[in-house]
Amino acid sequence: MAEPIQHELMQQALEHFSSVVGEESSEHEYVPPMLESPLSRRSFMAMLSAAMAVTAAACRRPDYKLVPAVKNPEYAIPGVPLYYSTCYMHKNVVHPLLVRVREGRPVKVEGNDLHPIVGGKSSALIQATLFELYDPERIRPILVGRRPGVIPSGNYSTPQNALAKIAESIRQSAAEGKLTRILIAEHCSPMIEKLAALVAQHVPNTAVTVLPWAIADGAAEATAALFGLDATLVPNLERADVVVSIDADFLGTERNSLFMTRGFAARRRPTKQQPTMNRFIAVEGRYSQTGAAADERIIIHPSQYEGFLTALYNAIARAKGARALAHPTSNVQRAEAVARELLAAGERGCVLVGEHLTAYAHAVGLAINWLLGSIGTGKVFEHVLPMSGAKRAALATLRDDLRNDRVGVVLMSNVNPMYTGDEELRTLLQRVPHRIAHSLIDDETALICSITIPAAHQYESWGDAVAFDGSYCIQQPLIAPLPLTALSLGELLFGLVKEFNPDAVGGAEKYFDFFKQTVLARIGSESAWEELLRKGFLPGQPTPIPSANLAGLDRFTPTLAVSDLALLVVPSSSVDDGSHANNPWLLECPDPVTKHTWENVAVMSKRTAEKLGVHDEDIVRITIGNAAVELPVLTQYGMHDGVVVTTLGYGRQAGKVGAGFGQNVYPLTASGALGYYAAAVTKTDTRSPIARTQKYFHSQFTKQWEPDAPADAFRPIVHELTLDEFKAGKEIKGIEFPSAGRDGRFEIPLNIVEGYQYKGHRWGMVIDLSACTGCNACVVACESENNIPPVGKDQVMRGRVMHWIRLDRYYLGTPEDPRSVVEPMLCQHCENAPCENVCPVAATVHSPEGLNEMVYNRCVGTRYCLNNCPYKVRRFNFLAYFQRFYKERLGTEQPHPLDLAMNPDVTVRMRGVMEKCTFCVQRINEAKYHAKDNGHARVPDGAVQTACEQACPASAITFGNLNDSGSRVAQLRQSERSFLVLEELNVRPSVTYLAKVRNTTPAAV
Amino acid sequence: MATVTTAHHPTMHVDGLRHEREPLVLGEPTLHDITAKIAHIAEDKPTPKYLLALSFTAAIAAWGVGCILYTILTGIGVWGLNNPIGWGWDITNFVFWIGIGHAGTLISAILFLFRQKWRTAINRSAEAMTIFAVICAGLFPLIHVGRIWFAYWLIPYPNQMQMWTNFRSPLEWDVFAVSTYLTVSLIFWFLGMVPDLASLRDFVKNKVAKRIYSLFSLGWSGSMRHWHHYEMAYLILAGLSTPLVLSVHSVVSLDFTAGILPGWHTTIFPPYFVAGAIFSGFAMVMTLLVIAREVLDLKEYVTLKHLENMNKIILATGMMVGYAYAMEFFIAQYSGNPYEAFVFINRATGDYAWAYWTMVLCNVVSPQVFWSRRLRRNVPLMFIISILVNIGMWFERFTIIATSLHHDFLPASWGYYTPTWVEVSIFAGTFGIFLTLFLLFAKYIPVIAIAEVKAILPTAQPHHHAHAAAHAPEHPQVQPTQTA
Amino acid sequence: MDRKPIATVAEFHDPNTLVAAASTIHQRGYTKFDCYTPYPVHGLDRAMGVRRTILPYISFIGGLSGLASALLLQWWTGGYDYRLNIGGKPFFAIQFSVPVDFELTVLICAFFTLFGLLHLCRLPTWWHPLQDDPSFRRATDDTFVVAIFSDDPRYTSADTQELLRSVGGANVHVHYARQNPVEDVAPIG
Repeated sequence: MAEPIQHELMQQALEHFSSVVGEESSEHEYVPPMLESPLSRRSFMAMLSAAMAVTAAACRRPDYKLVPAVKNPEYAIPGVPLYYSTCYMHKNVVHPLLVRVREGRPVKVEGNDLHPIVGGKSSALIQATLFELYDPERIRPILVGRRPGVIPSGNYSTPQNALAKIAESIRQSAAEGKLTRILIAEHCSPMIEKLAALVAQHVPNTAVTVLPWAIADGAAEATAALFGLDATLVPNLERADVVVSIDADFLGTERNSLFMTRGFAARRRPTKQQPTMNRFIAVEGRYSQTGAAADERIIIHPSQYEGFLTALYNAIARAKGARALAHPTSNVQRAEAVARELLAAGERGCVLVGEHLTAYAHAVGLAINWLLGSIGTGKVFEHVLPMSGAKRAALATLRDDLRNDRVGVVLMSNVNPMYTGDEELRTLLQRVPHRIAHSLIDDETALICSITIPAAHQYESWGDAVAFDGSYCIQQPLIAPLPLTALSLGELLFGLVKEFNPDAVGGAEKYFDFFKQTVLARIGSESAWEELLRKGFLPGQPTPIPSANLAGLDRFTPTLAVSDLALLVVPSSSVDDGSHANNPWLLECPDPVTKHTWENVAVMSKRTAEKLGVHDEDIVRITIGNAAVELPVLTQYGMHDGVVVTTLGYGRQAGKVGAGFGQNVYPLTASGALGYYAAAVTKTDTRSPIARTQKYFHSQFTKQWEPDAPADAFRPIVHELTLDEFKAGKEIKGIEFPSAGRDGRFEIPLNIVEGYQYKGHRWGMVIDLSACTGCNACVVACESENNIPPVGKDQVMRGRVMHWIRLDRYYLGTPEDPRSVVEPMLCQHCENAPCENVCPVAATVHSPEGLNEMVYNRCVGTRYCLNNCPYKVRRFNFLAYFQRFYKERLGTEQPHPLDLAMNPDVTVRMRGVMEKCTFCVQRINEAKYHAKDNGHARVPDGAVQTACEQACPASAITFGNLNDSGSRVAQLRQSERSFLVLEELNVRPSVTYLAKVRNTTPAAV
Repeated sequence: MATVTTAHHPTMHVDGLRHEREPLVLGEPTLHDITAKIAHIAEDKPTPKYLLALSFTAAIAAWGVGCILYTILTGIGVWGLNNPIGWGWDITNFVFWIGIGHAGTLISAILFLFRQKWRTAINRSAEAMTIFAVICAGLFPLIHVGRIWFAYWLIPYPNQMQMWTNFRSPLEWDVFAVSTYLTVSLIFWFLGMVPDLASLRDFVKNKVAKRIYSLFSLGWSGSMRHWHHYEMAYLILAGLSTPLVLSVHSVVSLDFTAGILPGWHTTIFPPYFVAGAIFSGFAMVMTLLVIAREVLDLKEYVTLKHLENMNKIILATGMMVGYAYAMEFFIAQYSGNPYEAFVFINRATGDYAWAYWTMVLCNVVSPQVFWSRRLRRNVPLMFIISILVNIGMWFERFTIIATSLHHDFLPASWGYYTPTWVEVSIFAGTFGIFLTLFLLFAKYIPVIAIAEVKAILPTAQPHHHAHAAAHAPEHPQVQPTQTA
Repeated sequence: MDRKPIATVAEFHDPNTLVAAASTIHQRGYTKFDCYTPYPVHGLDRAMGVRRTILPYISFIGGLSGLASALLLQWWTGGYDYRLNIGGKPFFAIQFSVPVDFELTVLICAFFTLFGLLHLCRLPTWWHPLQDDPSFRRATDDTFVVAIFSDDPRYTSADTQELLRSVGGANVHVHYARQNPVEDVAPIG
């Protein structure tokens, strides 16, 4: 991995840029389309020549935009990538990143490998942020005087004029005694906090309010009550031996899932030398991605969560001599069994409570952890997530102000209350006289605003953030804003403060000066600044956690009393809370459990569906109070019959890519709060097909699972061991063939001819099913690295999704208590590849390094290889997918600037061509060049990482040279847990899987 | 006009004990009658009925061609194929048409080698059917590729890419097998037709027609010195064609058997496919002949005896196919391979069970009626059965392709396949192409092998046996030709 | 008589008579004569003294060269010129070459047979010296025509006519060359 290099010229360019933007003055009138006015031939010619003159003069790409290539900066060698460190804030969680930049454009996002909380890893969402940078639908000009709901309308403006206009509105409304509210999304940036304070101080009647997309502040309330901290605690699961989750989807949709997945997975990889692992008990009513990874699942109704926690607390309190709680309990026996395990683990045991649960549940959970001793420096709970305090109070005030028409100006920055708000809030907002939007795309909120300002993407902005480990991260721009007049939130607030009081910003002319001054004040020296830019962060200490005040428990009472049918509203595992809903990479990313894409559905158990008289894809109406939403049903094993799960983030009305898929569930919730609701679910007579990437989930295709199954077929394609079995050295048994050898395995070699000898590198991969949580990071990383086009819902329904790596999920166990194994499936690069033999034009051949190569140029598209691939990992480009998707959604085949997001090292495939995983051959070649430059004959182990491997937060994927006996991959291949999928076919795959191990003890709960 | 009369009933009274042997040509035509009959079909103005039929089939063909163009311009995605199911109606139709194309050359070549004289009435149209069916068949592998404009890369030719084709691929074998089959069948068909084209050339009055027939008859004069080589050439080609017929469908079946998919990877396929091909080919010949002998009034030449013989073959090959189905099922279970076992149970009971049972009903059950001689000679019934067999054989290929692909090794990638209107239209379009070509053929090309029918007339050959001389008719009366 | 005789032509309508006639003509030592029949008459070639055709040898050579070219093609392209590791299979093996070997053998053999036949019969020849003769035109319909050509050393107009009459030929006549062959070149027949 190359060192992150700070690029001075880039920085200068950006400084220059922001100054230039400020100087530009004249405001262009919006000219109506030409054809509306009748033209004479003469005036047409006149206009034509004028237009030509304007075209010639209006070269809107001044050369300062082309810094890296044109001015030939010292580090930039065409064709050689540069890496910059930066960070991306998602809610109040910061992801330190390393971004690969080619010829001045960011092409791939990776986690910063130096930073301890990401360790070079990333998530599906972080990978997909690259699309949002290049989203063709980003707002281009600043528009003032827009007519609500009309695109485009209003006049083009400059940032300076727009800021002056906003200031004028604020002054005007202040004069009328009205308030100005600046609504911003959750963040963890000290700079924004400082600017917010300056705004409050210097801008009359103005305050900055954090408006989260979805609200989940039970944990914050509890932490405040017990520890007096305006924050939440983040567990380091690497230190936990026993993990008990109460409906926490900490491997999936919760905000710190990347860090938690890393820690959790690190303890799920037992080896012969160290046959230990953590134990995970999930208590839940739904079947979450996290629950699917559990060693034991306790399926209870959501209304019993608090009772269960109370029982758990009481059992532990008894043991620790603390006061028991008098609140009702439930499932006492099982809770006590869990408590025994936790007590045995002591400070290495922890309870995690779902972020959508009540403050009571969180408080009890914290109290348990405190009693166990797992909170404190060096313990499981050491990290403190800043700025995650409770938000509801501020929102109630805002709503009250709006109701009473006290607000004169509202500026909404990267929040979307017109989508996330309830009907009242939406109506109230439209009553505010001056509405200003600052957002990436023309979203629902932008459409009701009179001024819209394009927001600079985080990869285009200067900013900072603090992580929960106390480290201070820098956000440095990787590219000048693609919309020329885009402003970051920092620039916007800075500009506003400066409008009112230029002295307040310490005399800084430009935002960057102010920013650097502020940062330097924090970190000290210029050399620390250099270090910060190079490394991306400066380490720090997390906020110390004071002793718990268990009396704080009394502030809360159990409140989770939902009806028999509880509706759970949580963020989507793909598009989260809707803030990423215009992103086709995420929209097409299948749900880790149900494998549906492109929309939200009502997930329920089969029995519940039967009771309602519905089947998969039938639409049900979910009603809470006055709000109702109609969603298609998807049945799911392993759920409590009293739970229906649906997700936020869909049903967008603005954004041509994301609009029209699924339904908006926010109106069902209380001000966008996550959690359980008592809902009425009724059947309707309509159906809506669901696009799923996987329809069969059984390695045992039996009547037990599928009443329609034609036969009982056992397929040993995934393997699972208990920890005891693993310790006892139980062997993994493949399929039993009559001609199997004595050891039960298929006799190898079966070849009648001498096999090919691989003399140099021999690339191979090992995937640890025990570590994999099915988080989709690899899927999107691959999509980004390899220019894989999204295909759209209709094509997913036809079974034509293009992902080169897919996460197959299989059930084991029984339908009542199903266990899941996620098996990432990608091209296995078989030595005896069946696909190669059948290609008539030799378009897929084997490289001397063991890669199954697909020669796109040579492919004529017979699809024979696809048919003959036993793993079905080949993807046929049925319909010019690269152009088709955007043509359908955006009306143009090559939407600019999306072309800049393409990885220049990877071909964009045309229609009619087969494509598939290449083991990131472009990365292999790059690594080989580097090795050669450094005088190595072979690529050193770890010098080449495939995109999926690099992204995988669970580190479940290992790639390397099998011919090097010392390489990690060669050694993992020797593991006792290793097996080859479909080994009996003698295709000799290069991908080895390690069996999943579950820590199930006979004395299970 | 010469009047060459023939025997009243050629073999009926050789001796009283023998069963009456049905004549292969009814109605005692003279040599000239035969020429005149066939030539008139070609020379007469097309009837409105004919033109109507032709424009109907041509319209279907045009619609099919339009859909092919649509596919080429838009992409294979306009079909219903998807990730597990890379082949659907395209290859089903390919194998179906190739199968149809089998009986033609087989009837012609094998029956010729076995000296089955009854073949003469049907061999020409059967061969034509072969060629048209192979043309329709060849269309599918061509248009099913994603980038048809590069389909020529399947031919091994020296090129700037310095690349060669992959001879390990059964699809490459297909290229050779199908193109060889088409070429050799075309040669065989054309060669057999040269003397008849010469007859037409000398018979027709229309100048343009005369020119065209002259061109294609190559200047054939009927010289005995030519006949001498010609008969040998025909024999060699028949000898070549026979194994070729057997090889083509065997090679086509290798497309599947060389794959590793359960349900495809089985050694029974080559003979099973050949039997199936003969089965479907005969059924198609039957369908066409029943129509042709009605429409073109060829009942004297295509007699019930011919049809009955063909029904016997349909019955026999139908039983072979039925045996193959049963054996396939048995081996799948007996082998102990769980994937194989699953695929076959899935075929009979899974998502595509309807296709499987359609196939069994049509192919195995329906031909059983031919055990009865009465039913075997019932023209409407055999017409229905022949169509049922064609439907059944289409479903056989569909079953093999779709059921094996839709549920293969990894359940996570299982899927389902339904065709789109485009695929259905293209298939219908190939029927349009086939029938159009056949109608043109039936009108303008000697639909009956004139020279061969003449050669099997009872008096056509010199008599070498006493008994033959005994019942020989009075010597033909010879009338001098009038000078033109 | 300034027109050049081409052949003396006789018609037959019974295959037995024809075979007998051909046999007699052959025995009389005529070599440049031919019988034109609407279908192949069995035994007639033997009666005419035509030697066994060499076509099978041509076909055999065709088959052999087909086989050789198939083997060469597959070995040279896959095993020599551009060796690609495809599915771990050998670069060339007899086993996988069989289908193409067979097909090319048949194909080239068929071509040799076709072109061999055309060569042996000197076809296509869209002209025939007898094409204006009305009897000859009926040889493709229902008449057996025997023609003894004037370039036969034994040919004399009178004797030949006499011979043809004696073996049962009807409508025996001499066919003369056209005065102006260029004019009205009707297609053969």
